[in-house]
Amino acid sequence: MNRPLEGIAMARLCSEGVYSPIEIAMTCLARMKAAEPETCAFLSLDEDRIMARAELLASEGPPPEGAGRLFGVPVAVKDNICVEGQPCTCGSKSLERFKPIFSACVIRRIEAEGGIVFGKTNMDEFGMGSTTEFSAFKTTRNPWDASRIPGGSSGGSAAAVASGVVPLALGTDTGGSIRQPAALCGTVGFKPTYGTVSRFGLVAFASSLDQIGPFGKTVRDVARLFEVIAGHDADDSTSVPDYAPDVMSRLDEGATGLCAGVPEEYLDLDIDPQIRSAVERALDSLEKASARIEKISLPHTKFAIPAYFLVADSEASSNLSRFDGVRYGARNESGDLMEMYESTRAKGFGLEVKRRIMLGTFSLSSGYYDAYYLKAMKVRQRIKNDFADAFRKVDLIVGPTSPVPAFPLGERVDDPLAMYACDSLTVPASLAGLPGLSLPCGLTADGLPIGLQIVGPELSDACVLRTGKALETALGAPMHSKLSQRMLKIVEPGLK
Amino acid sequence: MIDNDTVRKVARLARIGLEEEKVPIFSDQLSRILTCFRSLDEVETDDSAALDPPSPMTPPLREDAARPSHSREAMLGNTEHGSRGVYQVPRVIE
Repeated sequence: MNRPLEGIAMARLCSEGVYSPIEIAMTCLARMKAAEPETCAFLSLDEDRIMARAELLASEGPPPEGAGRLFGVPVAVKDNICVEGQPCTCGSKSLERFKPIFSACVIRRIEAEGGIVFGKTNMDEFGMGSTTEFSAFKTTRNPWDASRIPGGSSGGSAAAVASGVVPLALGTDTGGSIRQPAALCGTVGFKPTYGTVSRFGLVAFASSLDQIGPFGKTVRDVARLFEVIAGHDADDSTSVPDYAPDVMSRLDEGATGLCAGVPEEYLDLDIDPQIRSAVERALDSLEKASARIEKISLPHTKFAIPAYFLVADSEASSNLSRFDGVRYGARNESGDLMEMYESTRAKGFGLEVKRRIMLGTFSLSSGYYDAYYLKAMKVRQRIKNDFADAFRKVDLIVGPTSPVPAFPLGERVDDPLAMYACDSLTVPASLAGLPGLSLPCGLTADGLPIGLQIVGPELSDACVLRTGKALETALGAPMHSKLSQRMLKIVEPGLK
Repeated sequence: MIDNDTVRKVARLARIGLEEEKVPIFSDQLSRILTCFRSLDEVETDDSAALDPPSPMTPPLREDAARPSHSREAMLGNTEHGSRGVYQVPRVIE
C-alpha cells in the first residue's frame, strides 16, 4: 500500500481481498510509529489488541455484500469515548488509570461494521480547551507545522488523520472541538445534529451540547463513518427517535438549487484576512457548482461566546461532580470525606478544568443563577431563533470555521478570553444543536490549512454533507486529499 | 466582581481544594471573564423563555422492569478502595 488510502477505499479493497486487515493494521502501526514522535497524537494504543482484531477479521473473511462498511478500517478514538478494557483518561490525571467496563454505542457500531479501534487520542482535559494544550499528559502538534497547535479539544484525532496514520477518527464537539481542529489540521470534521449520534459511553462535558462526530480526509469518508455511528439508541435519552440517516445514496447529487447564506455579522468579527479571502474564493466555487449565495443576518452572533461558556461550564460543574475519588479515578486520602473530595479534585483536575467548574458553580449558585445561567439560556434561545429565521430564507449557512489559522504553541494558554475567542464561529451552531461540517478550502501564505464551515437546519445532516461534497469537488482533488509533504515523507519514508 | 471570599465559597461548593495563594489568582481571572460575559445584559430578555430542552423531543419512557447490569466485581474494578462488595470512604457519621 503506497499511500494513505481513504477509509472507503480501504474497506472496499479489504472486502475484495486485495488487502488483508492484517496488512492494513501493520501499515497503520508503522505509520503511527513514524509520525508519533512528531505529532504526539495518541495517549494509548494497544498493538496486540489491534492485531488480534485484524487477525479475527481476516479469519472471518470478507463480510456479505452490504455489510462491513468499515471492514478492516482503523479508526482512532478520542480518549473520552469508552472502549471496554482500554484506558479512558479524558486527558486528565483524575482518570489516569481508569478503564471502562463497557464500550460506547458508537464503538459497538464501528466494530459491528468491521472497523478496528486504533488507539485513544489526545485531547484537552475533559474537552475543555481549543488547542489540546490542556491535556495533562502531552502536547499534540499540528502535522503541518510542529511548532503550532492542532486545535482542540479533539486535536489528537485531527492530527492522527492529518498525518496519514489513520483514515478515520472519532472526536467530540461541544463548542467546536471537532470542527476547529479539523480546520487547523486540514481535515474534514463533522458535528452532527444534537441527538443523532448516541452519547452513551461518552464522558459528559456539557450534556445539552456534546456530540460525537467523525474526522476524515474526505467528505465521503466522513459521511460513511457518520452513517455507521448515527441512529437512534435507546440507551441515550436524548437520542432522536426513529432516526436512521441515509447519507451515502445522495452524497454526489451536488449543490444545484441550494441557497447558502453568509452572515453579515461575521464581517464584524476579527477574522484573519487570509481566511476571509480563502472562504470568499471557496464561495465563488460553490456558486460555480450552481448554488446561490446570499447575505443573511444572525443578530446575536457576538453573544454566543458568553452564552456558550456560561451554559457549558454550568453543565460541566454538575457532570464533573462525579469525579470525587469514591468509585473510580484517583483518590487523595486526606482527613474526612469533604477533605477527601477537595484534595482529590484539587490534585486530579488541571487549571482550566478548575477554572470552568468554578465559573459554572458560581453561575448556578444562589444569588447569581438568574443573572448568569438563566440569562445565558435565554440568549441561547435567541441564537436558536436567529438560525430558524435565517433558514426561512436560505438552505444552509456558510463561513469560516476558525477566525485564525493554527497559532504557535503556548501563545494563548495563559489568556482564557483569547483562548475562548477561538470558538467564536463554531459555538453558535452548538448552542442551537445544528449540524456543522468543516472542510479544507485553502492554505495561508505560511502553508497552514484554512477551513470553511457549512451549517444546516436541524436534521439536515445529509444535505450539509452533500453540499460539502459538492464544494470539495469544486475546489479540486489536490485540496481534499492533500497531506503535507513533510508528513508524507515521515509516514512513507520510501517515497521520494 | 468575584472577591476572595466568594472564590473560597465557590471552591467549597465545587468541592475543589484551593491553596490560599491561588485564591487571588482565581479571583482576578474569574472576575475578568465574568465582566466580559456581562455583555449578555445588552440583550433584552425579560419576556423571553429560556431554552429548555435543546431539542423539542419528549423524553422516552420504558417499562419499569429490572434489566441485567454489570457485576459488582466489574464495578469495583476501577478503585483500590473496594472491600466486601462496597466502596470504602472516610467515616461520615460519628
